[in-house]
Amino acid sequence: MAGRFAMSVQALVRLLSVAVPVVMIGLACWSPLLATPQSSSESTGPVIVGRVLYRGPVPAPIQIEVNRDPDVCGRTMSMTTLSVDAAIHGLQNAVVHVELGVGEVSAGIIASTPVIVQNKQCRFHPHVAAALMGAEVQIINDDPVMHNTNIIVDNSTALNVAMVAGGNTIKKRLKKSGLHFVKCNVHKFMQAYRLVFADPYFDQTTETGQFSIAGVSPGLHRITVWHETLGVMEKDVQVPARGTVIVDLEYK
Amino acid sequence: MQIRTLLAIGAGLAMLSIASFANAVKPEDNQATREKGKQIYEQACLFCHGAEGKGDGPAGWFIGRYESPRPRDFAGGSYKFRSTPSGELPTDQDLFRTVTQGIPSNMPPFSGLSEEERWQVIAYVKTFNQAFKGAKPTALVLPNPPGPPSDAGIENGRKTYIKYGCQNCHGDNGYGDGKEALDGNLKDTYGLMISPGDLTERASLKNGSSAQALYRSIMTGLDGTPMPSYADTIGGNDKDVWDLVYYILTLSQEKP
Repeated sequence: MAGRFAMSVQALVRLLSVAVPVVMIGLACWSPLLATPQSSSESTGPVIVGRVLYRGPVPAPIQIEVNRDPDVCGRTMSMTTLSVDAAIHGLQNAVVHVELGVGEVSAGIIASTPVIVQNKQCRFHPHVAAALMGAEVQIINDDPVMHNTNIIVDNSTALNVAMVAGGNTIKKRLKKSGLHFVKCNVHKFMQAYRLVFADPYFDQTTETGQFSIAGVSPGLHRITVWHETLGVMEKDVQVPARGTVIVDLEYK
Repeated sequence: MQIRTLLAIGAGLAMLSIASFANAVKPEDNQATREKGKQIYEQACLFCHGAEGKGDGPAGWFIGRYESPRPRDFAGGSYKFRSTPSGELPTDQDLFRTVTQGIPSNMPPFSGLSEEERWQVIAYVKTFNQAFKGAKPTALVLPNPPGPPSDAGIENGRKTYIKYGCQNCHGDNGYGDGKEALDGNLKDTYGLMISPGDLTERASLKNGSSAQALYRSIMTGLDGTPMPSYADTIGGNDKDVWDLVYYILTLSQEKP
């Protein structure tokens, strides 16, 4: 009896030694999901979360005939400019920005995340990205052919650099805010966008169209959404002192 | 071939001397200087560049309406002719050089103005763009050319011409008839069609045709146009660039 009891205790200890870490890991993994935006925002101020939606027709990818370096670029290039989640109509690669008034933008925010412009298989990767002004842009050519990376802001050259095959990675600072149109003059089908903001209140939508912007001050703010083909959309949102504001922004 | 190259080098050195001398008479950039510059601008520049420097003067309305280049927009446009990295403002010396030399086929040289007057108008032109305020554009290091090129160097220049993709726009023989040009793919930042330089016609090269000028164009690029800067990607490989410059000079059909 005592032996069976001792065996049961040992089995219980073994069970607990396995079960407790599993439960702990499970909780750790679930905690971000379990935590409400309300609790996470209490220390950092209000959070604007939401989705950018599009329910209109989604055109099929465009097939462009390649007229240069087909060995590297392929004979045709498939271009998808509108990527929508079929289930919930979430729009990918839209950029959402909250416009704050003078004096509402936190001072001393340093752009620490580099912006990548990768030339690979005759495409710019990523196709769309948002960045903070002052961030370092890193331009890379992984192709065995020459490209140039020509970045244009407001009809003016922000940077136009030759990307010789096997050349160095080029690192520069983004000095201007606004829509940066990226093109390669050697391969005219290579185009991309970088949206550069003077403040950190922006986000790029995920594959399901979701975004989240934290740290904005309370009050009435205008939200601006940009998309490559659908253009610019605006909506005014009242942001409380604390908590989460859920905003769905739909292109009509 | 070598005589032509030496002449090109000599022309470059002469321009450097002119620039050095010009710097000696540069007036202080103050209100009085800018006021004098404004008077000169209204007489000499406004007709093309407009009262507010936006490139929209009475003549600017039709110059470059359908094909690049338009008169320079001093208020926000790109500056093609610089000694500074791509995307940067030009130095005062760059502006002085352009005003003095003019731009072949586009802008007359204003060497008829005294050097002091040219500096004055430059001081005024800079007031159109707030970015100049407090800015200190820094020129790239542009070394003097090495000695006369060897045949092996010219051959390396020819290979570099292909490696750097020059033929895509300027064509195999430098006539400005590369595939991108013939296909109509080359546009300026306003979306206007633009033609690449004809490297066989030195006098037509807008940023100058001396060895130094060609080196500068390759390193800085011509902002506002498809011509990119090679300064960063080649990482100090000066020999290839000079060989390329000398190869380009051999394309010219001009007699010494």
